[in-house]
Amino acid sequence: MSLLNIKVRSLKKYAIQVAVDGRPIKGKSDKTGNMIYTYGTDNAETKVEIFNVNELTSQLWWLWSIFYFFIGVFGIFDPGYGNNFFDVRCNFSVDTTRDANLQVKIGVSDNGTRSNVWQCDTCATPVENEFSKNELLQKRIKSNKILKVFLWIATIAIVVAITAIKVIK
Amino acid sequence: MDKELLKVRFGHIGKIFFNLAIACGVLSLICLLSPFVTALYMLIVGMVAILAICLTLGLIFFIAPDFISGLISSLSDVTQIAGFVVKIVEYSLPIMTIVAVLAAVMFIMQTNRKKMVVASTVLAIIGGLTWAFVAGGIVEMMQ
Repeated sequence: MSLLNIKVRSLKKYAIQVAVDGRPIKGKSDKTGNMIYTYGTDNAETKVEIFNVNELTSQLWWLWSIFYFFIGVFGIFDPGYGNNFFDVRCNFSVDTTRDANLQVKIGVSDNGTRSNVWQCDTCATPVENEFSKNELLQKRIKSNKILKVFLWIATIAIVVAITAIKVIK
Repeated sequence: MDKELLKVRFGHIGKIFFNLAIACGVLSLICLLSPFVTALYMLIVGMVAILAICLTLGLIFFIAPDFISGLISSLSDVTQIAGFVVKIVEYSLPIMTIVAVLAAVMFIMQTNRKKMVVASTVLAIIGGLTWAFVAGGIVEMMQ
């Protein structure tokens, strides 16, 4: 059995997930913050998928946003989504006839463009290597900010209404 | 629901509770460091009382449940302040427990959890206590 070591360097906000042969695997972070994944396999070739999951891709994102607004005490303690509107899709086909080490750096900035940089000590073929801006997510982040403003207005209106009713009584 | 998405959502909720716990922890520190302000002094008294009662409840609950219930009822008869504190505890215990347990559970589900679990649990308990006191106080005042 040969071992496949995958080292992923990325910002935590990208919420990177790794799947090997279609199954998600758990990793550990090292001292420098890189994620280390180890996978033992008997196959001569292993498929590695590195991808990110964004909450705003779901259809009910606005409902979750409202939920976060209230449990975060009117959004004060909600960390929000920041500028996380990137799609990360990396698919590699790695030769695992012997132990292999795959290193991937996500979203490396070079001359104003961002991409994924990878390196492998055995033969690895990138089937897909994409780091792109998702316009839908960008729009939803803006919509989320507008939604929060409306929620604040609604909250203030409700508080004023309740106070007014109590004063009248 | 997609498992990965759910994991990210739990992480998001965990961050909210963590922020909340930090804020409440800072608030409790401010309260402890400012004993000259009357309102803050009340908060300190309340928090110390909650801590003491929680510890007592935790320790004695399995030994003498009748003792603790008798103690609370006798306390509430002594003065109005004691009654107020007891009512605060009554309102705040479930909130405190929920905040503390949720914060701990959410952070256990995080990937880099080893250091965070300890830190978040401690912060959640401190924060949860303060937050619970504030929430309990608000409920009491509204009534």
